[in-house]
Amino acid sequence: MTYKQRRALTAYAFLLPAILYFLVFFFWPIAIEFWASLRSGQPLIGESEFAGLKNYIYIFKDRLAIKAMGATLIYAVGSTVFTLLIALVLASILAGPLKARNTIRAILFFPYIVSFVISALMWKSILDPYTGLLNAALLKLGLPQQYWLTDPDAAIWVLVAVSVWKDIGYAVLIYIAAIQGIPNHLYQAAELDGAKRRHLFRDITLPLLMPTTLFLAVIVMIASMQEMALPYLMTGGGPANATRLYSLHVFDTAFQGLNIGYASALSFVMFLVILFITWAQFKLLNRDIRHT
Amino acid sequence: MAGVTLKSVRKDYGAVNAIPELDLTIGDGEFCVFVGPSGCGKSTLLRTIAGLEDLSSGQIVIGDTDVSHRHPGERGVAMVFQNYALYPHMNVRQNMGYALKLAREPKAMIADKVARAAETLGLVDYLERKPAELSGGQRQRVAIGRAIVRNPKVFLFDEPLSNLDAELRTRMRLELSDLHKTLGTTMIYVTHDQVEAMTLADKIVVLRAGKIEQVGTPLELYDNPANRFVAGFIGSPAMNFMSATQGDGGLILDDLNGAHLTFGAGVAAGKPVTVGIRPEHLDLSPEGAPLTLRSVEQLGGVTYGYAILPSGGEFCVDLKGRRDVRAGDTVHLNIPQQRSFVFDPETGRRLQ
Repeated sequence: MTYKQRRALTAYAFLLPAILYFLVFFFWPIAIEFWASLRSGQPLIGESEFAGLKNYIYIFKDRLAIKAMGATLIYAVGSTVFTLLIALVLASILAGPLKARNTIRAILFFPYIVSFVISALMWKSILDPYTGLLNAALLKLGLPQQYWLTDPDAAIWVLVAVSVWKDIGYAVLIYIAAIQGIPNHLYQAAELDGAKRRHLFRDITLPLLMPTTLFLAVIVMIASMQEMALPYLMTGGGPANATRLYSLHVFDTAFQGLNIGYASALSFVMFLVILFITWAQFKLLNRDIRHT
Repeated sequence: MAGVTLKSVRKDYGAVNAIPELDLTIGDGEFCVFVGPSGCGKSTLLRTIAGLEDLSSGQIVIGDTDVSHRHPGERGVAMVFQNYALYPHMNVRQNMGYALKLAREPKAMIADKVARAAETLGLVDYLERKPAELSGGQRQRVAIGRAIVRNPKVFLFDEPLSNLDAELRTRMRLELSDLHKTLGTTMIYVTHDQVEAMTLADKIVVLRAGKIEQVGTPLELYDNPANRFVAGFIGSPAMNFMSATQGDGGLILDDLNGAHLTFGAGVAAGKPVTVGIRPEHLDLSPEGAPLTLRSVEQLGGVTYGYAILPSGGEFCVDLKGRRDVRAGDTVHLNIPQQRSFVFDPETGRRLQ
């Protein structure tokens, strides 16, 4: 065996555990899911028979599924855009020489480490129209009370806000690290070129953060597209299915309706949608930035 | 174009004083080189002129304008950094035109100025490339081009050639010299390489611990150093220093087997002094003081011999051309009076 072959073999030996892990826990379930999506009845848990693309065709007739997809897109795009925008502004401030920056960073990161169930229930109680803190505060200020989670137009945006609150610490942390990684001499060169603060942000910081923005956009978008816990715990998908996110619909279809084949088809479609969105984000945001 | 005047310029970092009060005048169109060892404050001084460091006190005047507290972009200076500082996400054209874009110059004008600078610097074929796709020399040219297009009153160079290999450094040095002749703009150049300083400068400013040790033309500093520090810093190989004491009618070189020198008449009897002589100014003579060589460097056209003096200092001899000399051989040296310097060993001040 040549030295090169031995090196390759060693590399594969080290990679083997990871490859096995991905095969067993990721690729195998995807394959099983695809198999199940082509069957009617109760594949995986009971009797089933081959149904071809019937499950997929049914999705187009399932108004609830289409509504859930719409709500999910609003939720995912809203969460991603607001998380990134707010995180960018906060990170730009916190990356600078601010006295209380470590305290503020810790406060911002805190929601990220709190259990999802706890934060969802906490917000549910804060937003309760009759006993919640928020409405109590509004009343104190002489403002009308709001039906945050029972107003079909507001509920989805309340979920977006909670999701932004939850994820912002992580995004801020990543952005701060990226901002601090931008060499200082680039800012100095730009200042000598006549750039003021706003130019430095627009022409240096923002473009050089593009790889980070892409990374965060993909991560937050995928997590939001798969979101289930938040509507499940805070609204149960209501009011009038306004917050019935796609994953919740799949969950209900599979475990309430026990329609495993159809739920698998729904999941597989979501898998393809996420794949497409991630590809589009790469096309849109990917910049080749190599420092010299 | 404009000259630069520094009046009582001082720079502190908290309690640490980097530059005590310093005065300097750089003439219009002059090529001025700040030279000195690492940490002597030369880059700090340059960055203070650029406005990248705040002035603690004093005044910086460019042309007739006091720019002491102006934004770096409003001082009329352009700077070339040691690591080029090119914007990695912009191509060469955008890098070079960025300052003009910020100044809201018309697009056609920007294109024209960038094209002309690219032509001067041989970058025409690289305008669409990103910095990462260029070699070190090309990146340095882009950095210079970025400075040129702004047509600044003063160019500032912060060790611009130190990241290049030896061959490219020599070539870029010549190009910079030509550029200065073509543009005629005031240039301030920071380096620790005294060959760059000697070859490029109209005026050299030797700095140590933030203070100016001497200002002068390269040959003035070489021929007439004000103190031991300047004498040792300017010239390559560096000047040799030997301990000596005043004896009867001249200096006795304790470091060279008690060789007797016929100069140093003004030095008080018994006073220890330091005698300095450049390696190229030593004469080989059979009657001279003997010196055993520890190592020999044959460079083809020139041969250097090295020895360690009893006082511990290194001693270098230019053996004049190609010579068949080896380590362990003894050479005999004559120290010509007119080429020697006498320094006070305590203050370093030149006595003769």
